[in-house]
Amino acid sequence: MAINIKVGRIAAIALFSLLLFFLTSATFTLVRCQPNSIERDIEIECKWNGAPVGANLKWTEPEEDPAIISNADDGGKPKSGTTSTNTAINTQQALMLTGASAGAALAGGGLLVKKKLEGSSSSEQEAKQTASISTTSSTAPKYLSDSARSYREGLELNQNDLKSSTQSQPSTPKQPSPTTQSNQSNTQNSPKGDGPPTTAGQQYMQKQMNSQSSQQSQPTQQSNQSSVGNQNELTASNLAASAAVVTKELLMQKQMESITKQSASSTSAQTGGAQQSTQATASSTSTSQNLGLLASSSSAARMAAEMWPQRQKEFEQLAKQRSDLAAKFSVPSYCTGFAYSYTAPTGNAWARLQGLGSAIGNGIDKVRVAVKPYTPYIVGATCIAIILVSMFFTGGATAPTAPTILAGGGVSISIGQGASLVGTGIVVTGLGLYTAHNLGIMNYPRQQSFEAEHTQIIEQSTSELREEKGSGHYGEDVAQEQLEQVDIGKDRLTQGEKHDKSVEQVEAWLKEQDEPILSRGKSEWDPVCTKDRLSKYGYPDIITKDYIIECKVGEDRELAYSKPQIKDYTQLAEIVGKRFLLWFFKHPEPGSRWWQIIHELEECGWLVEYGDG
Amino acid sequence: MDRIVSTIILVSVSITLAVALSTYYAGLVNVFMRYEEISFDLAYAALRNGEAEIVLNFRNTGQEPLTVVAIAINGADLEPTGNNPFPLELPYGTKARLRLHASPETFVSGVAYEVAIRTGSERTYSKMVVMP
Repeated sequence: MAINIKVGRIAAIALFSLLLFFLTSATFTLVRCQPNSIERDIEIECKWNGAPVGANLKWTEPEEDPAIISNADDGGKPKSGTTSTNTAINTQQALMLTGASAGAALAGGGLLVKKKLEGSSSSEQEAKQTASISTTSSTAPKYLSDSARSYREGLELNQNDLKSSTQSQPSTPKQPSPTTQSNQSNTQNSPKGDGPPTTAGQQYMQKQMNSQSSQQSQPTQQSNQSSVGNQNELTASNLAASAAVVTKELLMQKQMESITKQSASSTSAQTGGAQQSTQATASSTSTSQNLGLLASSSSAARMAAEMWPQRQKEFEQLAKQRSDLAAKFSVPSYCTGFAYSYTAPTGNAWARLQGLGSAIGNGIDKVRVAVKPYTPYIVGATCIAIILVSMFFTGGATAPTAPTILAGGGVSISIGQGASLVGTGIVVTGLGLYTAHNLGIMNYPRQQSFEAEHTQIIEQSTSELREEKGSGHYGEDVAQEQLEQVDIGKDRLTQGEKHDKSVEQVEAWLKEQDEPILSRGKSEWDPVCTKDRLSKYGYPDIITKDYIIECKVGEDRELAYSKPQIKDYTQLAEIVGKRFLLWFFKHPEPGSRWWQIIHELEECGWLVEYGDG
Repeated sequence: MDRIVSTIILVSVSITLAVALSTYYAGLVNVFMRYEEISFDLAYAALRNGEAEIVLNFRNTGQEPLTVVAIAINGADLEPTGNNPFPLELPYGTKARLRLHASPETFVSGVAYEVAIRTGSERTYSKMVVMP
């Protein structure tokens, strides 16, 4: 079992190839070493110069040679070599066929044995992989990137914890007493818990709590309340470090509620009588200290609980967006990570034809995915089949007779040996590359699959849109924010309609000034080397005889890439002896960071104009 | 461990394939580079029981089957009167014995006879005997 699967495959293919070669050699040898056991004797009546002459020829020949048998048994009647060679399978061919069959049977048996030896681990793995692809809604597909998978798992984690927190709400009729609840939580979260965690959320929380409990060394841990308090204290510190972990926040909120009730009960007990034990006093003191820390984190926990519906809504939107993009890029349905059922259009014939093509494509994709794990075996079996078939053809012509060659036996030799060469070349090349790759001799890059490539494009575009907005994706209206991000991304690519309008404003202004436009969106000519362009200083929107003009909309999001532009254009203006004009579609908003740049430009003597929308 | 196993497999496969391929392609060369050859072991002429006979013992020492298309004596082919057995195929390594017999008037005493075996590759292998 410890043998790597790749090594096993190489060994299996190598074994089969060697077996075939040995079979070939053995068969050839067997054919050539057949005993000469049959004696032939032919009496020929002839005429020589008109006189009768008898000729008697005796010889021994290999057994069951069809060409000679046919002639001899025919009493000297001639028979064409074509017929004698092609009509029957002679001994050589029978041996070849037997050898090929034996080789194929051994190859098949070897494959079965190998699959058995490799055990159920690999097959189960493959089955799981296939299953994960086919049932994409329940498990994270393997082609998702790490970030996408972690994001999705995080959502599932939160969902599990949300369910667990919902089940343990105080308003639930079956809610146990606070003490019981804390005991249960301690038992569940302690490393010496009775049973293993059953959900991803529980596993995650157990890891967190294990690490926390290992750090605790306070003597008040013996009481349930103090242990809960310590856990909450450490949970609060972790929360401060990683507030994005919503799971922890939800559990904290749940525990905080239970501790509050416990604290209230213990405080009343303290004031009520003197029968409180020392342990109870210590535990209540510890709890009150921890409550102070918990109070600071309660707002974060509450906020996290409020965020959950938004995050779920956003997740659904991202799913839809990914599915739409996948459909746009003709990505197979399983690439989206969600079940995507195809409905055949019923409109017209062309639509139905398109639907049929799409369905066939989906079917091919499914077959490809299902067959993919067995590709090495299929390739190996194909090569072996090519060799076997070519051996059969070649074997039929291993003892070419003159009539055989004349009748086209050479063609069969050429075909058979050519196929044999091709098959052998494929096997040797494949084995060499495969083994060389495993040894690290030649680490050829694995080509990215179609699904991974397009999934990456979708994730990248989504990421770019998100970064463009510059804000988190937990806004008040997630849908509106998504639309804004799309608009911003679009404006970034096309520079937007407002930018085009600002260019029109400049053109109208230049027309009033009788200033002809020399170029649009091109770099300035070098005044010294007149055949060169000063492209390193950028491509101003408009260049005239006296001006270098750059148009802006006047929004702060332009600042990131406008600052270096303006710096280059001012330098360019100095070099070519023109005036730099920064044209705004409209005045920037009060408080905009553009104003600082505008003031600096004006102080330096450059021009700033506004189209006022 | 995997690397060691892979190395062993690679080396063993390479050596075995090299041996097998060299044998295989050497065989291919032989297929296209075969030559034809007949070696005469003995040849004699004699008069026996009132009949003159010429006997040739020969072997196919070439690397491919030999195809006999005709037998000639002193440049004149023997013409079969019944069924024509030619071409005759003699596997490589075959030992054959050709016996020509005729009346003493046909094979005259004291005359030299050149018996030739013509093959499918348009080659002629001849042996001369003198009739006693």
